[in-house]
Amino acid sequence: MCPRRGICTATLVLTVLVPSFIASNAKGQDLKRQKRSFREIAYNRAALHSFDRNSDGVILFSEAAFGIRSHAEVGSELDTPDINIRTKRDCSLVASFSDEVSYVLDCAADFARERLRRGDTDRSVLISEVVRHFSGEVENRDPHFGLCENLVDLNELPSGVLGNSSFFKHLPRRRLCRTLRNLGFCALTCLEVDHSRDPSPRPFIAEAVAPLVKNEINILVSSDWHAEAWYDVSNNEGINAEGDTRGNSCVRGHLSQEIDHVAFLNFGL
Amino acid sequence: MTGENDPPLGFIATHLDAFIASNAHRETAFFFLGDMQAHDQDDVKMNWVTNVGDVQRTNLDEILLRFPDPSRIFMAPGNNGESEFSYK
Repeated sequence: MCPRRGICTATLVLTVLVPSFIASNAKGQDLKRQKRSFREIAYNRAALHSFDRNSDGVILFSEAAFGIRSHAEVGSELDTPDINIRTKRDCSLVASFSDEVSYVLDCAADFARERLRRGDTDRSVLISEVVRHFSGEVENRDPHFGLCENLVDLNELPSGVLGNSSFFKHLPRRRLCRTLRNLGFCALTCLEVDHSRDPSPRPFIAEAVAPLVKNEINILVSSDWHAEAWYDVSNNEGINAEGDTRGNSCVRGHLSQEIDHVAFLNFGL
Repeated sequence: MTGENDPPLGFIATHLDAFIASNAHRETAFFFLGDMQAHDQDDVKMNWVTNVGDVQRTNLDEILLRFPDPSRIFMAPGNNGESEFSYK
């Protein structure tokens, strides 16, 4: 999770929950306290919503993984006062459909799992296939385009998600892919977040994962396997980081941390 | 992998190893919560068309080495799962 850019599911949460919350609170309450309470309520309700995506009352591992991702971002943005929205329209559009992004990429993982279930256990072939579905055709010179096209073509999207969206259903697939990308799918960006004020999402994540680890399955939760923009591995005065030279004197790495049965690395909102 | 803002494979490998070592003889699962690609890649300083795939391939290899059962691997997308320059 990039400290400088994040998806803005907070907008959606605010739209849905603000009216009911305000109505349920007595007038004259301290505004600051109310704001804090709202954050907590929105946080918890949103967690419930995003974790149990198919509303069957059971939180699957895949639902948990995506829920943690999206909620770490929601939590960060709700508690971050200095959010600089680049364009409000873009942000609201991305927020409106951000719940569906996880399903788009989950198709690639499902594809890999399906191949293995069918007995295609050649790892090099499998990885090649997965990467192809993640990255698209090289000659396309546009990985996002290939990514979207391949994933949509997999036709494994759950009903009620992408395919049934009234916004998308009349669009040809090629245009759909371009629209998705323009909306932020596959590479989302609409916020600038003040990294110095971001709260740690770890307590929430530990709480969210706790029911899963009770089943004696220990889960490694990890993200952000990338160099920071200013982490210049070649020590060449930041030429690969837009002139940012911090990497010359400081190699930044996030520490791995274990909380109960859950380990974190690079969970850097 | 180009040598230009490659992923910190040392950190990645060691934290995976540490988790597996501390959970020997236990059931394990892996959640990857997104953001596998370097920030500020561009088409001038590196060939991100191939590099995106190379990075994913390398990291997937590391994951599958430690979590051989793909039914226990769950990957969520991140806003830096691809080259950020490719949608500008």
